[in-house]
Order: sequence, then C-alpha cells, then structure tokens
Amino acid sequence: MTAVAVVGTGFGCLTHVRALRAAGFEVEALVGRDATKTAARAERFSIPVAATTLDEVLDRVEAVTIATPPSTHAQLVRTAVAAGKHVLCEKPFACDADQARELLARAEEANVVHLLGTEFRFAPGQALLARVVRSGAIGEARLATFVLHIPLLADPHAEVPAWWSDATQGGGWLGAQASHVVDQIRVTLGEFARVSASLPHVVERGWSAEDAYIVHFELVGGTVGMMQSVASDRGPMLFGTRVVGTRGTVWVEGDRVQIADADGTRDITAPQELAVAPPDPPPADLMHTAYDLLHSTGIDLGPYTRLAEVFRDLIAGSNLTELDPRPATFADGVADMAVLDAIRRSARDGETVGIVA
Amino acid sequence: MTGVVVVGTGFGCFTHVRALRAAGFDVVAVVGRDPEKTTRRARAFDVPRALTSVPLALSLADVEAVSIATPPLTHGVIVGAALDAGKHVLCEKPFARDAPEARSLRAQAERSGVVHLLGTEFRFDTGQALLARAVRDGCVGQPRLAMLLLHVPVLADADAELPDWWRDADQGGGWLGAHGSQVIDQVRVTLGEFTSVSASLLHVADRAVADTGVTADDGFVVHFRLDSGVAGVMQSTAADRGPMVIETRVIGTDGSAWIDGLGSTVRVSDADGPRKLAVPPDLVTAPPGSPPASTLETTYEQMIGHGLDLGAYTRLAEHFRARIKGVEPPPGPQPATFADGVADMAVLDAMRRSATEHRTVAVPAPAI
Repeated sequence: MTAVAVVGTGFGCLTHVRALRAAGFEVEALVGRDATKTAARAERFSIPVAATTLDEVLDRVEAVTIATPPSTHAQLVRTAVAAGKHVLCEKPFACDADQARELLARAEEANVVHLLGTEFRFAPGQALLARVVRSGAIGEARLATFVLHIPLLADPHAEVPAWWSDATQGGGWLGAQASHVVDQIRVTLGEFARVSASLPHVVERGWSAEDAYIVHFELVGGTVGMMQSVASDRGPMLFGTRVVGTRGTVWVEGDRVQIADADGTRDITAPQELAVAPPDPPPADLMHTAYDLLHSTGIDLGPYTRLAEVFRDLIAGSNLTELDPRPATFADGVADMAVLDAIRRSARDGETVGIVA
Repeated sequence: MTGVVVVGTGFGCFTHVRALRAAGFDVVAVVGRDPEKTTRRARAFDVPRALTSVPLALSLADVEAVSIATPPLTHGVIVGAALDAGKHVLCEKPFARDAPEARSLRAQAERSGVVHLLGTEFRFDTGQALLARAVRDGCVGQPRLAMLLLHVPVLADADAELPDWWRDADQGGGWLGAHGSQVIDQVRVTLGEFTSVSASLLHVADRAVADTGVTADDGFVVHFRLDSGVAGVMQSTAADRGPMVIETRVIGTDGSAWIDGLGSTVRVSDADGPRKLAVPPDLVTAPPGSPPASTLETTYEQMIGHGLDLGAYTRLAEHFRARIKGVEPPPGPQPATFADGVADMAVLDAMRRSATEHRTVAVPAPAI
C-alpha cells in the first residue's frame, strides 16, 4: 500500500481521503492549519497522524494530495516535489498561469507523478460525451453550450470560507466551477483561442469574488460556445451540456448521453470501462455551510476514486499516454489557468482576450 | 377605414395583411416582384389588387400608409418612395443594410412628418412585455445577468428551402437578422442600451455540401454588456436537432424572473419563493392564428408563417393606426420607431463586426 498525506481538512477529508482509500492508498497523515480541527478530523476519519505542517509528515509518505485554498497550493507543491513526493493537487491549480508553469517545471524536474484534481474527466457522462464528439458522430462540432444555474449562494448570508469570498485568494465561482468546465471543454473539443467574459456579482454582499460567470469562447479548432453559470439563481435550476455539430447534436443529462441526428434521437450506451462507483454522500453532520453543501451529494466520489486509481497506477509505473480518459497533469493545470487568467482579464478590461498556447 | 398597401407576398400576407385588417385598416393592394405569385397570394388573402410596382400602388386612391415586409436590402428604396409620397410607414426588421442607412431613413421619415414604426412586434408579446415590466418595476432587484436562449431544429436539414436573399449574408439574410434583431430589441426594452458585444455567427448545418450558395448564418452566440451594468447572453441556432431550448431569464440582486417557454406566463422567484405574475389587461393580445396551411409551401414560409405573433402584430398595427389617426393609442408597451431601428441596427452591425474581427466591439449610445 502506498502511503499518502492529505493536506486540507475540508474537501481533503470529505473526498480525497475516501477516494484514496477506495483506490488502495494508506492515508497516513492529515495536515491542516488549525491543530484542534485537524486532530478532530483525523480521529473522525481514522487517520493515524494529524499535523499542522506538511514538512513534519513527509518522511512517512510517498505521495501528497493537496486540497487547500488555491493561493496556498504553490508552497505546498514546492515542498512536496522538493522531497520527491508524487503530488495530486486540487484546482484551481495556482494563482495564475505563470505560477502554474513554475510548478509544472519543478514537478517535471523532480520526475514525480503530478496530477490535477479535475476528477470530472472520469464522470461517465463527460467521458462518454468526449468520446462521442471525437468519434465524429455529430460531424464537426460548431456550437458548445455549458449552463449551470443553482440557488446555492442566493441567500446574501450564505456562509463560505473567508478565502472563498476573496477574489485575490483565488476564491469565487469561476475558480470553483468554471475550472472544471474549462478542463472539460479542452478534453472534449480542444484548446481555447480567445474568450470574452463577465464575472457578475449577482447578490450584493461583502465578497470581492464573483458568484456567476458568462464566457463566450472560440476554440482553436473553430468551435464556438458559451459557458454560463450562476450560483445565486433563485429560479428553476438549469443544467445543460450540449454540443451541436454539422450532422447532429449530443447532450448530457446526468450520466445519460443522447444524440439526435437525421435518423432521430437515441441513447449512447456507456462502455463498462467508464463506469464509476455510485454517489456516496459524506457524513451529514460535517455539512454546515453553503460551501460545504457544494460537496454534499457525493457525486464526485466515484470520479475521484478513478482519479486516485490512476494516481496509484502512475506511481506504480504505468504509461500515461495509454489512458482514456486521460487524467489532467500539471501541464493541464497550466493550460486551464491560462484560460482562467484570460477570462479574468476579459471581465476586467471589457475586451476579448486571446489565450497563448 | 385607413387604406394601406402591403409590400411583400410572404410575411406581408401571412401576418401584415391579417394584423392590419384586425386593427381596422383596409388592405388596398399587395405588391410583389413575381406577378404570378403576387396574384395567387392576393387571391388567397382576399386582397383586391395584386401589383408589381410600388409607385403604382402608392398612387392608388385612399392609400394613407404602407407596410413593408420585403428583404432588408430593399427596405431603403421602398421606404424612400413611401416617404416621398407622404405615406405613413411600418417597416420590417432587420431595418436596413446597416446603421448609416438606418440613420438616413430615420432622418428622412422625421423630415416627412409621417408616422414611422418598426416591425418588432414582440414588444407586445404578452410574456415579453410582462417580463420587461416586472424587471423595470424592480421585481428582481437590480438586474445583473440575462440569458436569452433559443435552439430550434427548423433549419437543421441542409436542404431546407430558403429564399435566395435569405441564403446570402450580403443581402441581410440569416438567423441573426431574422431572430437576433428581435432579441436585440427585447434586451433594449427590458434591460437598457448595449455598450459592447462579443459575437460569433454559426454555420451549423453543412449547407456547403448541399448548396454552395449559402453564406448566411443559422445561429449566433453573443456575450453583451449594457449601460445598466447587466451582462448577458443571447444564443440561438435554428439548426439544432436536439430537444428545443427556450430560456428567457433575468437574474437580479433580489431574485430571478423568467418566461415559461414562448408563452405568456412569467414567474418570479425571490426570498419569498416562486410566484406566477398576473397578466394585466393591457398586455393581453388577440390569440395566435396560422395562415391557411396551403400558403405555407417552403421551409422558410413555415418558419415565418407560424402565426404565434399575430396577436402582437395586431397590437402593433393598432398603434400604427392610432398614430395615423391621432387618436388615443392602446395602453401598454410603446411600439418601436425608426429611431429604434437605428439603435437596433447599430447593435446588429457591432455583432457582425465582432464575429468577423474576433474581438469585442463597442456599441455607440443611441440618439433616441
């Protein structure tokens, strides 16, 4: 069993610990800033060691997973990589693309396994959608739409961690939710060429971070589209993932993928290899704030377990290029951050912003 | 009765003729390019005269007004002829070739002192009018984000029959002009003036395979910013074979408001929960009604002849007649004039430039 340290007592415990164990890791240590909370969480999740710095547990492990606020990722990644530990790091990956590039360079130099926590690449619906689009079943992809409206943060008093309400610390809905969508678009349809974006603050409160985004994008391959999400919409929830092509349209509802073309509408059956474990909510008594509720359904546990299995296999020496879905590495972390940077710049300047490859 | 000439044998007959009559106009003649088709249409819609000359039609006795439902590039000449003859004008959207031509037509109309209206009838659509009123009345607090999505399959078949002008982007054809111009007007009425747009024009159906002559778009994606601070999305395609997408929603600081589909039901959801808004009497219009099915021959005719907008168009025609007669107009929303035609065209121009140049394009503030 590979020993791993988990840094982060929130999502780290609710998802990383459970997924890593399901993939056969030995969770040896939990690291958190608050000694009391960390000790309590370690006990609750039966983790032998609780610590307040990563340094003090590095000798015990081969790998580290990081589920802390984005602005703290860089120092933790540097520490882990310098000690030759394999690293799985949450998204949004870094403060910006420049910092992301530095972390990628360090990981490559240390020759460790480096993965990004964009687990939804392994969600069966998303993985199948990507395969259908790449197969040419809808012809050439012309229009892609990603819409998600939920009421989670509509209450002006909705509680989130201090860092999450702060744009300068990498908080906000763009980093939390759009970073997954950016990654999905890159996997499904190709690299971004340019974006035009707005980052509205729908509800008035003291946050500097946005609770919604609108992104009009054009991809290098010519597909255009819209990513739009609001976390403070009191109207009916909207979920829509759809790619319209020259010969037909494919869309996702949960993990169900359907296609409509000149021959009519039909379901696409997912191959067995894309199946994941069913959703498994974390303990309800640990869900307190609106932010906690983001992860309360447990729908990410199955995909995260697949990601952890890939982490395990790569550490054991398997070949990255043979994997489908391919996991995101720090190189994807760089590419995803470059798109997020461009979105933020576009929203600030009111101009279209190109993405440098 | 107020005598009116309708120019255009498609939408002109399917909707203008029927709406104008319902509003108390006497449709004296229909004018078309093709004598045989014009005669056939005049007969189908009981119009006494079928003509191929606008000047001849304008010279008929008792003609006070002209309504124009022809391809956009022909609007300038026909509006000019009508204004020269001192006739009141109702002109279809998209209004003109571009904003400069629209400004010229507006100036000409204002000099003539006639009534000039734009055919953006959806200002009177019960659902759209009710949503606009609710938002302006503060139902959602300060509006922050708007989404106007419509995906339909009507042009998904690459062989869909379309008029020559509609296939040609250079002649003002395409889905942005046809549908997008209505949405632009709706956004302006509901949320304020455009300040900048980022747009892509789509060619979803592979018409190049079936017909190399098609240059017009069959969809669009637009990210817009308004002077009110609202950011939004207008997105539509007429070539999506998937389930229809119809979403009109405004999200504000205090809640969200939306239209159920394309209907007349508007709902608001805020801290007190969701509720359905009552339709005030001034926003009620006559029921929809399709023209005779035998007149809807091509895909394009089926697309424009749905008759869902007959009630709204009748209200527009009532405003046209009230302004001509100088009598009390119907209560409720105000119709668009050529001034709105200029403002709408400026936005449309900015969207086309944005799509061509792959950049965000500023929209000049309109002079209304």
